[in-house]
Amino acid sequence: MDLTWNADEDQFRSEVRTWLAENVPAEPLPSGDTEVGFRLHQQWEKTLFDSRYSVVSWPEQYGGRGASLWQWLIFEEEYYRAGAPQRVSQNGIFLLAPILFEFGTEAQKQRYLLPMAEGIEQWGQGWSEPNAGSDLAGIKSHATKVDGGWRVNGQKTWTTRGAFCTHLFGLFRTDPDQERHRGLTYLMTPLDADGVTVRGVARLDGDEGFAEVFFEDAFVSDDDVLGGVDEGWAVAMATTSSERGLTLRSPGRFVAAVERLRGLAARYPEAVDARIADAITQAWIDAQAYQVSTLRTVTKMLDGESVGAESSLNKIFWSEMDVRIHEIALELLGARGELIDDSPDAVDAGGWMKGFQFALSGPIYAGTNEIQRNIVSERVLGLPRR
Amino acid sequence: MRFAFTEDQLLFTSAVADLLADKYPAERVRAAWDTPTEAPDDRSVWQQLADMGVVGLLAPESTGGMGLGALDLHGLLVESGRVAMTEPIVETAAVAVPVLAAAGHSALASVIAGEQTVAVGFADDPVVRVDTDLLLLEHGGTWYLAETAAVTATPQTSVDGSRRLASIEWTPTPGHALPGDIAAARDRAIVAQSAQLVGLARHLLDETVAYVQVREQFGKPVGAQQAIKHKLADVLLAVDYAGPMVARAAHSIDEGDPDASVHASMAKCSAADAAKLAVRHGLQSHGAIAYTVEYDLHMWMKRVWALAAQWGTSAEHRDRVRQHLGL
Repeated sequence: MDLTWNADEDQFRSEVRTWLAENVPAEPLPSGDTEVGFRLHQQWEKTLFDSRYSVVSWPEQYGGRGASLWQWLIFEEEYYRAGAPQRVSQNGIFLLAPILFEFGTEAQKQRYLLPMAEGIEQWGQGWSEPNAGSDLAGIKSHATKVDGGWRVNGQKTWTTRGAFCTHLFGLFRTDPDQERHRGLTYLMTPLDADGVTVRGVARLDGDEGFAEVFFEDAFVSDDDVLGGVDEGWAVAMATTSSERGLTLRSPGRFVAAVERLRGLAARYPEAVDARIADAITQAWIDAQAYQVSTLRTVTKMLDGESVGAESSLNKIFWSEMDVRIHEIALELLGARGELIDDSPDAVDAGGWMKGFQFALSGPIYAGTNEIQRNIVSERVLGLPRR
Repeated sequence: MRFAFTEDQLLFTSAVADLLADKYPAERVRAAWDTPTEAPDDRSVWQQLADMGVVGLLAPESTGGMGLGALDLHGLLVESGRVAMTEPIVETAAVAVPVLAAAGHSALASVIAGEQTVAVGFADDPVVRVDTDLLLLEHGGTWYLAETAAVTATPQTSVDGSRRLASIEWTPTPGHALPGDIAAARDRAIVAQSAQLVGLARHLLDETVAYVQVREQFGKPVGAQQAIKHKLADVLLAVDYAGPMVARAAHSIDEGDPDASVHASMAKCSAADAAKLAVRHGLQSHGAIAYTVEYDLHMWMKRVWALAAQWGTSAEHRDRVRQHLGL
């Protein structure tokens, strides 16, 4: 065991810290889940890209630095520590890109990775449908083979920032005679194509962060099939396990959130009774546990071991920790906690209530935590499915 | 950066696990319950552990030990917890041996050789184990080594019938004093106890998982019910996140990390809370069969209840962390 960073890693951290100190906007940007805020966040993505900080772990030819997983963790720690803006590109760079690297053709990588890294093209996910949420294999949207591509019909929903995205990736049924997870294909499509309609939906916090996407005889080229035809389930599972696992929620995010919570406690000491102090302490311990556990997971990944169903444990842990962190903050704020936006007496511009509402989506998205507990008990503990 | 055990650490752990799988069946724990007033006379397992170098692992090679660290001992302690070992491996190997070694005490050789065992009592411990040959007792910030037979002991009965406890009356004499760092020894005790709790929790989870797969109700295994699955997933979650916290604390002790005490406290509350959850959900998932002393599980449950509160409860350790955070 060696829990120290080497000289290169220390150097990298120091460069990242300096750059962030000089470049992170002094005033927080408006929410990236609104039209105005999204465009400002897109500019920030471009700023990151221009200094090659938007996708540090990617190869240099696609705008990255070829950074190691350890450097990526360091980057994330520094990023959240600096209070830098939310990553509106995350669905593309963290979820689609790993799939492109693993399953994509050379032409697909050339076509899509650079504009994604630059933030010019923004990707939404096309998984859930009105009647297929956690039960993803129940999707009905379908694609029929036509000359040179596929004719797509159906509806996707809960597409994050779909109203502002340029493209969508997701699963579509390509073999109508097959059921469940067989006969599905992973497709990529521009959202401005004929036959595609996007309707924004306000989320719990009121921002237009969701969208419904309707397909009516929309054409998708054969060039935009990712992985094999009818083999989309295996490709999609690779995405969801990175969504549940490391890439979406690095420990730096929660370490920084708990530090902000400590800062809140220091500003309002009269509101910190023994019970709240104990709860903050437990939250700090939880963030530490997540950080230490991540060091173990990354070591396993670098040793070539598969993480697999353990990513479900990660997802349960961080998503429920995130909810608790925000619950404690609201408890501490008391009656001030309900004040949001530009209310004169809102604390941190109502960010804790907004963060709380966002945190509540964690136990739901990427497969509810109930489904994750089923996965853990069946695939890790070996309990019977039925 | 690398968070993993070395090949040597894994091999040593697996050698001890093999020995215990062979020599430490539940009947052995039960036998310790059945002879509550006597010290165990069967020292064969302890002797074999001593022969393998486990007991003297933390003592320098020049004194007959292995010159290794808390992290090297970690996996062995987890295994000792898994089988609910009654022998004082935490007290003797993790706490007393380094104290005796640092003090250059003459008892060290016989302890490392497995001929004598040592229990440990900090001044604030209400009771101590008295099933050992020697007692390492803290008084006024100084260690004293006493023969167990020489102290006046009032036996106390534990919920865990395999534990021989007593409150003791004893007058420290300068001739028995040893130099030594009390705080460092306490941290080693806390982390070692945490490792055992992780092992106890893993056994409770494994036993419960095995049981709910064979126990059928309503025409299917009870382990197919989501209510049971989710409870056991929660136990795995707690144990899986506690384990690395305990290993990290052991590593911090070895490295002389200034935050080693805080890491030890985090390890203890994580491990104790995980073990208590494993008991709670283990019992509930078994149902009435585990609510009896005829079924073995109760011995692991009661060991958890006893050890979870040793050397600081979760609340006390969280409070140490709270003070560290300035809250």
